[in-house]
Amino acid sequence: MRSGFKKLFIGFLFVFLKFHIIVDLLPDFIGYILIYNGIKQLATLSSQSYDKLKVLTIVLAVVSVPNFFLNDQIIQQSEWLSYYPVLLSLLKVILVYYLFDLLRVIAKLLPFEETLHATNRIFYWYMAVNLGSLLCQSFIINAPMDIMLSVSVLIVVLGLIIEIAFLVYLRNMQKRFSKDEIIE
Amino acid sequence: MKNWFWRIISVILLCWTVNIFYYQSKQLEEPIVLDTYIDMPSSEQTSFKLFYLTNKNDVIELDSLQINGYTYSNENSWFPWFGELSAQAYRQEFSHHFLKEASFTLTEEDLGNVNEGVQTNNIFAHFTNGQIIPVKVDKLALTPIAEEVSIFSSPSSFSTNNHGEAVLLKVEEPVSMNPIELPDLVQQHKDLKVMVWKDSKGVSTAFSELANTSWDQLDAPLYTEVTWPLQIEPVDSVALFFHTKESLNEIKFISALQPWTGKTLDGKVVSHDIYIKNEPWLTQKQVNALLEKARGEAK
Repeated sequence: MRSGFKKLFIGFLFVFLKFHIIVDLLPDFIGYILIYNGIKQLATLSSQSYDKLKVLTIVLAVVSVPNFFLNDQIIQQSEWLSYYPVLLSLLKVILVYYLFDLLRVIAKLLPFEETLHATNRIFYWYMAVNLGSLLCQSFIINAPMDIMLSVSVLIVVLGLIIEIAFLVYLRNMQKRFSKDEIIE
Repeated sequence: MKNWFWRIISVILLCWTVNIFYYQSKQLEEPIVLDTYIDMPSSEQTSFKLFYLTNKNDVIELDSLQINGYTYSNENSWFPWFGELSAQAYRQEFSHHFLKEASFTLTEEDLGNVNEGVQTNNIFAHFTNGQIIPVKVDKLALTPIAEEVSIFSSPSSFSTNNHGEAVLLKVEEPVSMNPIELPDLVQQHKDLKVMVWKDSKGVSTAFSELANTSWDQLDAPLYTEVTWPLQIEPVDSVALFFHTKESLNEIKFISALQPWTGKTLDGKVVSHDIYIKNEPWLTQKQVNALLEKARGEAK
């Protein structure tokens, strides 16, 4: 299980970080493949197969392949390409929504009640920030430049904070499992 | 729990769809260069401007102007670093567009080419994205200044916030001035009121107050209502108040010098050049009207 959370953590880290030198040095599609393997491993703890979640992860891995080549300049040059990051964000939010179903099941299996509270807390904050940001972004494309810039900065900052919080949560979950732990 | 999530996703998708449609409906397929009327004196280096609208999210600048086959570069062409949208130079910002300004300077040799006979339907604007757009120019005349005898001085002039300009004039000797004639194309866009003070005491203050009054409340006769010829004495002051008519159908940049002629008591012909300009300061409604006109012509 520790290894499963480790794959989730590294996978989401790949998706979060973008080092673009000609291509993205931490490709998103590699991240989603790692997330898929992590989910596959963690799903063994539950009676459900989480097929929807796995399929969604594969879809995201495929859809995020162009992101390997695209940088901000190329995206800005094409009007329709500027909506591609929004599509990726939307699919990722849906993925995380379903992922938390699995994470709650695992949190309930652990002896610490605080784990379930922490899981729910990070879930609600993650959804609030990301869904709120997706909603706001739809309006700022028609907003004056100064409002667009201010709101964009706010969205980026909140987005960064919640993504880091989510990564910290995954890392903490990983640490809750010792290397030899067996959970029935 | 799943219900609320999918409802929110539906709302997000709906908002995106509506906003994208609205955004697309406001996009220009190509920049719009405002109609232009230029009738100015030339010198060793003669400058004039053009104004144009572009989409905010397209980093496009007017690169050069082609007149009768000759090409002149825009001195105001400012391409922002890395094509950064927010670093564009503009005159006015609107919801989805920028109003930008292009400036051209012609040397005497260039003027020779231009004044060979400008075919006003043979002027094209070249943009940095490769688009070439015909520019509607009602007049482009840059002619050498004729020797004029002027007995006028201009103690002060104003540009006001409500789309107006004003100039205060005094004469050195008694003069009888002919009616001011504005070209038809200028009359469509500019109004002119004339005020004469028979005593110059306190005129500066009175002039400033009138210049800052709204056009409708400015208590001076229109130039067409003045009794011509206008007799002006050295103790008198004459103020000319210009106002740009706010029109949704015709938006034009005007830069022109209009001679105002008259005679002194001893029969000497005098002339004073009145500078008429209309650098555009548009409202969102005017931009919307330009957009609709552009789309209507494209259909």
